[in-house]
Amino acid sequence: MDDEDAALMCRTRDGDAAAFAELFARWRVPMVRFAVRYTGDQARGEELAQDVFLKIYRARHRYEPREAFRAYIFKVATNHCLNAVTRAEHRHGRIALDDLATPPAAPRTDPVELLDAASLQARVRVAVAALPERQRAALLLQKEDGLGYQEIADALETSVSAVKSMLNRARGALLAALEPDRPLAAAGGGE
Amino acid sequence: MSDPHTGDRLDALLDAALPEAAPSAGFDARFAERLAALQADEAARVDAWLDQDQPLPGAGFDARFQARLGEEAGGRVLPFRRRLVAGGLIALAAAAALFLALRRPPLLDAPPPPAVAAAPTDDDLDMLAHLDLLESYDEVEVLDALEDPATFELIAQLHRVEAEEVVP
Repeated sequence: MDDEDAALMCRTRDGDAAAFAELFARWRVPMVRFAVRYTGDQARGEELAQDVFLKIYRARHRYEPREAFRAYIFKVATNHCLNAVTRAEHRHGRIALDDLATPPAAPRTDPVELLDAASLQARVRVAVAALPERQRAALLLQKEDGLGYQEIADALETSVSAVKSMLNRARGALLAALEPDRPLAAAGGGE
Repeated sequence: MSDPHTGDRLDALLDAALPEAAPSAGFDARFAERLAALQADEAARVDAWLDQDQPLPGAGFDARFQARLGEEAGGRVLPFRRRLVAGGLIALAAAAALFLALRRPPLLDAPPPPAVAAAPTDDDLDMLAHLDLLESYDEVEVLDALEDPATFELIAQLHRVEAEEVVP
């Protein structure tokens, strides 16, 4: 089997606790990154990322390596984040952009630089969090681990053409939000 | 501009003076190339924006997960809310069965009713929607949270009913 992660998951299914620990170590950063970006909230994202690992652990007995492990884990993560955010919005109403999370810690020491970086990160986080759920999921799935159109379509249970449309809309919305003053300049191959 | 034919004459003059307005050879290919470049540029810009935000697991993330995993491995105890939902479902299934049994007409020679599961009532759906259960069907399915096949089937049925209502 070429997929080393799938092999680890098979060993987890067969009772090898060390294999699951290794899987966790390999995927903890991508999962946290995906969930925090998805929710726009560090603490909430971390909680959801942990949920994903627990879900996978609970379902280990039924695991079959039918697809690449990364496609499998991002599918679980996407469904979980979509469900969790939808439930939260049902309970509390749409999340206000101003309420979105604190910016993440940045590995910088200069206070001015730190402030600028945090502000920029917060703007990006708010803009991403403001995207419609499925557009956001498609964009992050592609960005996070370079999932292909078909893998994203599988994760979102939709068609490849719908995924392409979602990605185009998401990029357009982000550009409009983050570069509102950017002129409509032609790119590449201009006269 | 009182002459109504002025416009027509101007059009004719322009038609004669201007070249045929048709795309030249290679127009489509050049446009496709420029469009692809524009899309690539936009994708790169969005990537650059997203790269500004690289969240990492915070302090204590691993320890908290190990604690949760330890609880999981040391004997699975359903969270209170999930236990409440499971208990409610079992009670609902029992009530539905009792209701159907009481509603059956006492005609001994009547043909047996078709073997179709009873459709949930509006009250059932309201109650389950209140419990967020319908949204959690996939989770229940993945997690094996319910061991009773009859209850699980009831949830699946309600889930289908809700889906049919949303997308007729």
